[in-house]
Amino acid sequence: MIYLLILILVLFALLGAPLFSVITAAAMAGFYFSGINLSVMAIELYRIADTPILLALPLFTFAGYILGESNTSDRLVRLTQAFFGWMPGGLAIVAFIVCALFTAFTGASGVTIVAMGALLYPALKQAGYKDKFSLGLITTSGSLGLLLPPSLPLILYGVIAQQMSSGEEISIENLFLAGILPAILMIILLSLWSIWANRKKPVPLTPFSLKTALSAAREAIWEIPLPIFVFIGIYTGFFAVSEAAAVTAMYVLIVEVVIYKEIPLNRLAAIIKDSMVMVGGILLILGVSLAFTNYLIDAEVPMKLFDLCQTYVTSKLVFLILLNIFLLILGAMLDIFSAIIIMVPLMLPVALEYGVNPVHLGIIFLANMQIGYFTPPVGMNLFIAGYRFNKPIIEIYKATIPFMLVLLLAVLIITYWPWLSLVLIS
Amino acid sequence: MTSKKTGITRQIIAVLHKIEDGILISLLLLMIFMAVLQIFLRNLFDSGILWGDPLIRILVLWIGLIGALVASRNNHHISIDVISRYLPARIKELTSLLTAIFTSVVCGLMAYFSFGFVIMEKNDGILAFASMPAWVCESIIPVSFAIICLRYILFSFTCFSKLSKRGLK
Amino acid sequence: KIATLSPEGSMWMEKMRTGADKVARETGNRVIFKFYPGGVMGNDKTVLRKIRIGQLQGGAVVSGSLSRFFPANQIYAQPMKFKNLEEVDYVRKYFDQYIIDGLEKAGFVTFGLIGGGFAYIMSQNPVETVEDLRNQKVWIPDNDRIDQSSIRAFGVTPIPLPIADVRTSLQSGLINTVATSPVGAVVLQWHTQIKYVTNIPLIYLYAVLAINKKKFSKIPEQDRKIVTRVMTKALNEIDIQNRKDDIKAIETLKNRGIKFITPSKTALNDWHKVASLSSKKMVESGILPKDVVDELDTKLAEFHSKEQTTANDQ
Ligand code: NA
Ligand code: NA
Repeated sequence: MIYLLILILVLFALLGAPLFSVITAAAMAGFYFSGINLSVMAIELYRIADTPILLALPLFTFAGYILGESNTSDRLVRLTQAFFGWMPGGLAIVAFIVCALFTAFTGASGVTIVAMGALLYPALKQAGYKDKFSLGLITTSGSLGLLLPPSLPLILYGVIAQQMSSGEEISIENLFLAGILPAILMIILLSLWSIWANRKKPVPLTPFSLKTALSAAREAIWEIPLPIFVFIGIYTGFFAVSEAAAVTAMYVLIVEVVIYKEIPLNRLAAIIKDSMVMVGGILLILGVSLAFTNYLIDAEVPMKLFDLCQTYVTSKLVFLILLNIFLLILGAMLDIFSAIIIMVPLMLPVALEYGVNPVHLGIIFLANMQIGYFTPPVGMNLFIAGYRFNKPIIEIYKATIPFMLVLLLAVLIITYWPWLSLVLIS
Repeated sequence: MTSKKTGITRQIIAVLHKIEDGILISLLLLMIFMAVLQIFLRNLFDSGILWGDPLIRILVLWIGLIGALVASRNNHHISIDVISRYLPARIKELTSLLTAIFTSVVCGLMAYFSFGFVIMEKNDGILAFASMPAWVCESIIPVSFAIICLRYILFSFTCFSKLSKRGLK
Repeated sequence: KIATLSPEGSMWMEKMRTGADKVARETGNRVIFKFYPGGVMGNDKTVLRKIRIGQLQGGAVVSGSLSRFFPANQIYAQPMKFKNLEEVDYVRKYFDQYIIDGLEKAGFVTFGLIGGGFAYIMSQNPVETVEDLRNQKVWIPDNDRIDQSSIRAFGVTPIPLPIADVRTSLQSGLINTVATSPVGAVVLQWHTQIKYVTNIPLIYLYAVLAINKKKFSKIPEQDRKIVTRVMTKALNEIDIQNRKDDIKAIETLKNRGIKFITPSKTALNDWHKVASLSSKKMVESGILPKDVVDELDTKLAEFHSKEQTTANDQ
C-alpha cells in the first residue's frame, strides 16, 4: 500500500506535477498514516515566520533582479576584465569566491542562485563562457561556502557536538578555522576545472591597463561600494545579515532607479512581481519540505537508516565511506539544520569510537551536505536553478555533473586527509 | 453572448490579478521600509519598534505564499520535467490534466486542514505580536492554498476541454 | 511523544531517558516515552501547537511559554525579587505546588518544576547602572510577552529573536546584551561572545515537563502512579544537578576572563527601584494576582527574619 503510494507520487513528480504538491502529498500521507491531525502541515508551514534568516531571501532576490535588469552585468564584466582579464579563468574564479562568501552568510537556501545568479549568469555569458558551463557554475556555487564563517550550520554543529563530547572541547572558533582550508581547496579545484573546461575556446586574455581599469571603475562607481559594505559590513559585525539584506535592497533600488535611471518606474513593478513570484515558488517548497522533514523525524526514518548503515561498519575506512554515501543521500532529503540536529548525536559517538576527530567530522558532515544540495536527481538547488533560469531539469543535471565530480574529489580529500581540516587548530 | 460573458469574466480576472500584484508589491516595499527603519532607529536613536521584527518575519511568509499563488496563474511552479518533455502532445495533454487534478486536490486538502488550524488558533486567542492575533497572520495559509486550488481546477478544465476537442476531431 | 530543546547527550536528556526506561520496565512497556530532542519539533510555541493537535503529548518548555495558560506561573519571574538561591529555595517550598496546581487546572501535568538558576545580564560592554543598560542592544526571547514587559520597565527597547539566532546576532552586533543563566550561556556558546556579567540575579528561571492532561488521564491509574513517581524523581535529579552545573558554569565564565561587575550601592538601589516598579506593573496589568505576590513577599520577609535570628544566635 505504502509502496504503491510512493510509486504514484514519484510518477506524478516525473510527469511534471508541481514539486510542492508532490512533497505536500507525501507529507500529508505520512502524517495521515501515523494518525496525526493534518493541521500539522499548517503549523510546519508557519515555521517560515520563525526563521529570521529567510528574510534575506526576498530582499537579496529583489536586489539581484534589479541588478540583473539594469546594465550592471555589463559593468561587472568590464570591471573584472580590466582587473582580472590577464588571469585565465578570471571571472569564473571571482564568481566562485563571491558566491562562496555570499553563501557563507545566507546559508544554502538558494539565495545565491537566485540573487547572484541574476547578475552572474548574464555576466559569465557576456564574458564568453558557454551557457552550460555558466549554469553549472551558478548551481554549484549555491551551496559553496557552507564551510566558511559565519555559516550557521557550522555554528549549529558546534553547539550540538559540544553537548555530546564531554572530554574534548569543540569550540565554534576551531570549527571556523577548520573549515577554511577545505573551502579554499574546493574553490581551487573548481577554478582549475574551469580553466581546463574552457581550454578549447578560452576566454581571451587582456593585459592589465590602468586606463581601462580606471574608466571601468568610474562607470561602476555606484555599484562598487555594494559588495564592500555587504561583505565587510557583515564580517566585521557592523551589519547583521538581515540588516545587510535590507540595506542592499534599498541601496540598489535608489542607485538603479534614481541614479543610473536604467529601470523606469513602470518596469519596477514588474520586476518586483517577477522576483517575488520566484521567492514564492522557492519558499513554498521550503515550507512543505519542512513539513516532510518533520514527518521523517516523527517516524524516526533517518535514525533507522543510520542504524542500518551502522551494521555494516567494521573499520574506520568503511565508516568514512558509508558516512560519505549516507550524508549525500541525507543532504538531498532533509533540510540541513534538521539533519545536523538529528544525525550528529547519532554519528558522533560512532565516529569517536573509530578515532575520527569531532571537528574533522563536522567538516566532513557539512562538505557532504553541501554536495547533497545539487546531487541529481533530487538536490534542491538543481530545482531552484532550473526554475530561476527557466531550463529543463535535465539540462541542469548535465551542466552540474562535472562540477559535482570535482567537488566529490574535494570531499574525498577532505574526508581521508584530516590534516587539511586540523592543521590550523593545533 | 458567450464572448461578451467571457469578456467580462476576463476583465474581472484581470482586475483580481492587478489586486494580487498590488498586494505583493506593496508587501515587499513595506518589508524593505520596515527593515531599513528598524536599522535607523536602532543605530541612530537607540530605539526600535518592538513588533517590527516579528512583523517583518510574517511578511516573509505572506510574500512567499502570495508569490506562490501568483505563480499558479500559469502553472509556473518548480517541477521535474524529466519525462513530460518527451511525451507526444496528445499524451502530454492527458498528463497535464491528471497533474492539475492532483495538484488541486492536494491544495484543497491543505486549504481545508490549515483552515482548521486557523480556527483553532482563533479560539485559543493566541497573539503573534503586540495585540495582533496569530490567526490573522496565519489566515494567509488557507486563503492562498484555496486560491491555488481554484486555479488548478480552472487549469484542469482548460486541459479537459483541449483534450475533448481533440477527441472530437 | 515528548519534545525538548535540550540536545541529545545533555544531562537533561540522559536523566529523562533513564527515567523513561524505568517507566517502561515498571509498566511492562505499557507506557513508552519517545523523545524529540534538540528543538527538531520547533520552538516552544510550535511544540505547544503540536501538543494541541495531538502530534506530541508533551514538551519540556520554559515557564514563560506556559504563561498564556496560567499567567501566575510567572510569580518567580519578577525581576530582582531574589538575592540568592537560598531565598528561592525557601519560597519554592510554599509556591511550587501553587504553580503545579495552576498548570494542571490549565490542562498540563508537570511532575514538578525544574529550576534553572538565575538569569544575569551578560554583555559586550560593561553594564553597571540602569542607564548603562539603556544604551545596549538587548535581546529577549521572541515568544515571551512577560519578559518583554518587564524589560521595558527598565527603559529598554529589546530586540526579540529566536534563541537559535542569538549567537550569530551577538557576533554580528545586532545585539550586544543578553539575559540568561550561566549554564545557558555556556551550553549555547554565547559565552564566547560576551565580556561582562552584571552580578545581580535578574530573574529566577525554571522549566517544566508539560504533559497534556487529557492524554495523561487516558493511562490506567496504576501506570499513572508509576510515571508520576519515576518522572518526579528524574526531574528532581535534574533540578539538583542544574544547581551544581550552575556553579560550574560560573567558574567557566570566570576562567574565560569574563568580568563580573558588582554595581555600587547607589546603582544597586536604582536597579531595585526600577525592578519593584516592574513587579508592580505585572500586578496592575493583571498578569500576577496581587494576593499571591503579597504572600510571596511575606514569605521572603519571614525568611529574612529567620536568617537574622540564626545569625544572632551564633
Ligand atoms: Na545560498
Ligand atoms: Na537538503
